[in-house]
Amino acid sequence: MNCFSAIITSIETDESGSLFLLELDASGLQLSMLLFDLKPAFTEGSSVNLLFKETGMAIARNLTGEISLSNKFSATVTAIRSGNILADITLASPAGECTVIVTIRSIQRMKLDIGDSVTVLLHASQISLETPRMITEN
Amino acid sequence: MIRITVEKKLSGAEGPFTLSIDLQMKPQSILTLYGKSGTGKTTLLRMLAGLVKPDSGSIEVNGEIWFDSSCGVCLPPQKRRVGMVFQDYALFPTMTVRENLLFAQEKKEPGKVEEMLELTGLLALRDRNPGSLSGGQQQRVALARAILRAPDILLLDEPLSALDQKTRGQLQDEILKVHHRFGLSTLLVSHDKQEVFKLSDSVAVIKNGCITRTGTPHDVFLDRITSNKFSFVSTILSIRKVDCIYLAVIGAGNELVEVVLCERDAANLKPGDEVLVASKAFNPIVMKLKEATEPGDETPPI
Repeated sequence: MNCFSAIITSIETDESGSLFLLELDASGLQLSMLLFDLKPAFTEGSSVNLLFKETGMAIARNLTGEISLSNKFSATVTAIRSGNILADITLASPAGECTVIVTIRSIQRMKLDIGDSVTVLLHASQISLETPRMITEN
Repeated sequence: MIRITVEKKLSGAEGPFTLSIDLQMKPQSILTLYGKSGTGKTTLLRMLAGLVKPDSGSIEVNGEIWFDSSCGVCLPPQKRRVGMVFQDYALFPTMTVRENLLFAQEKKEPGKVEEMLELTGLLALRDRNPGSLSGGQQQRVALARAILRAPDILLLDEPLSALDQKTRGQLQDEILKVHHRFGLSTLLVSHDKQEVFKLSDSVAVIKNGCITRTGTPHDVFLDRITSNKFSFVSTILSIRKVDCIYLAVIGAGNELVEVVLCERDAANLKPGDEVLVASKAFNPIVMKLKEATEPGDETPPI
């Protein structure tokens, strides 16, 4: 699971007040996410953790044209750990380190190597929110 | 509303301590007392039932004073409308299931007993003696008996802890069903987090005789608030490496699910760990089952 610290910069809601579109600032990266039934703990200005799964994102090189995905940001490949079918790629981004799982075939097709710059693509619907972890006695 | 403010000196395994409880319970809700053994949970239940007298304090149930040390009120157990279910079933061994239930009623109403037998799936066992029933069936009888008394408060003291996982799950469903059917105020003692999450509207954590935290199970047990739509608490049963990812087997009710983990997750998790499994409302695929098949027979092509 990937985790970025961020601040909620704006909250937009539909007429029924159950679907929310949040704009977020993760160390300068402008991201957006969709969710239902926003808990009162999350308001504009709140510090949050953004959680997203390694298997729910994509990376691209030399991306041109328009794309419906809401979140695009640049990152650098810092490590590639390969299996037979899948690879685990570590990326350095302005918001911190994150990992993406892609197929080996994609790595070969993209001729991806350590040090390469890529564009990370992330669906607004694939991000989850949590409050920053608090220290408790449990 | 049920208001409990009581104090009593107790002697525990690690020396004397004071049970000091200040608790409010909404009517028709399930409140769970969660804590290690020897922290006073059972004593609190016994105080409510009138089997143990607090040193001081008061117990008010739906406007009626059951105990008040300041004016010397202490209703005897038979005057308190309480239903109790313990880990051991405490059924009369020489009476049939039906007789056990009839015995519990102050005013004998065989019609209601029949209704309860049907509701709890005990009709076919009505003429058997408890000794010939399984643990789960006996506990179902104990639950039916407690509810038949139309209690103001139902006290469940780790009622399912002696049962196997599957029976426990079925009895949890049963408890929820009768709880909603009769709108009972239920105080449950449990130290099974999965059970707490499944059954409780709220939970109070008892430590050394005092309540240290109260709230919804999510608020109390998860140290953060998450935005996920689907979530359940469970235990990791195994983790195995597949190619360069990991597959964790996690119990979900009576089913098992497999969840993909990445290197970083796997480094922090091991079998036996309690975890929150969560997914956004956007992710699950929903497919209609063929009508000819029984629910549960269908194996989705995933």
